Amino acid sequence: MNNLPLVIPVIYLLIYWVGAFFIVYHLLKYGITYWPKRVAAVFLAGSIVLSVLSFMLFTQIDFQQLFDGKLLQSNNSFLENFKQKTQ
Amino acid sequence: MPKIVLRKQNWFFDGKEDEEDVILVLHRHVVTLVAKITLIVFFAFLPFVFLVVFSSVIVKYNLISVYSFAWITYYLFLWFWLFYVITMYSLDNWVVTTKRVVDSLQTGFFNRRVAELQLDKIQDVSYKVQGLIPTFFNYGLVEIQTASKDNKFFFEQVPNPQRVKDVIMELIIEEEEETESGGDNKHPHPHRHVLVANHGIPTHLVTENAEDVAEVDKDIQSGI
Repeated sequence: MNNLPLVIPVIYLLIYWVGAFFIVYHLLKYGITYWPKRVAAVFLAGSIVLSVLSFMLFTQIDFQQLFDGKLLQSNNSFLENFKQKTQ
Repeated sequence: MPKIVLRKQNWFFDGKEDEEDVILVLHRHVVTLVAKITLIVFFAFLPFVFLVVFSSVIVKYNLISVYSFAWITYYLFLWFWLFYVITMYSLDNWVVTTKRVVDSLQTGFFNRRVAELQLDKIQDVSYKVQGLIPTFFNYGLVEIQTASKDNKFFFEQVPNPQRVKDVIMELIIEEEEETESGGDNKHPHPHRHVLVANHGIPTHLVTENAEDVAEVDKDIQSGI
């Protein structure tokens, strides 16, 4: 149960990067003129940034709170929660 | 009427032979991408709409971190979709070389079709621009007729179809002249119009100045 949260990003990022590999591969192998290569570079850069962001945001999720069902019982405002976390 | 100078490009494509030069690389007109891109942009705005509608719920149940994660992950896959569309667009192309015409079509990662036609097999080239949007943006269909009645080549939704037709006709004429003169006749016309491919769009550069033509011929020789 403790490892479950880590399995989720590994699975979807793996699926994503397999697809990303095929896009880059096709653009580099079959692309004619210079612009498919540039498109591949932009795609790769954006994919890396978004993947890292996605993973980082995933780690910010409090799964303990989700699994315990405290989330649904909570009626604190965002600001109150924010204050508690920062204190 | 002045003839067209065929500007050879240094571009490489899968299956290119050593003795041939690329003259044109054509894709469908960019306008044909607009519908797909618009759909992706529409989906990109959905998280904002969702945030506005459900902001109170998100704040009340402290779902900020979950929502941020879902938003970015959603954009990650939207990013993938955008570039999938661009990839399929860029790999659906037509290449005109000094020897042949190559038609490549990619529909999905594992479905690629490539057909080619030697220039000496071409009997007739025609083009058709039909409809309001194609007329406005100047794109249309180029139809290449071969000796076989059933065997036709189509360049669909290509920009500037008249110029494409002119280039192919010029290539056929040059090929015939070269065959007749035994391969020594490289540039028989001193004053010509210049036609180059600019980002896949044939651009007509007019020059009747002998110095300009010499300049272009020099570029051709150096392979620019």
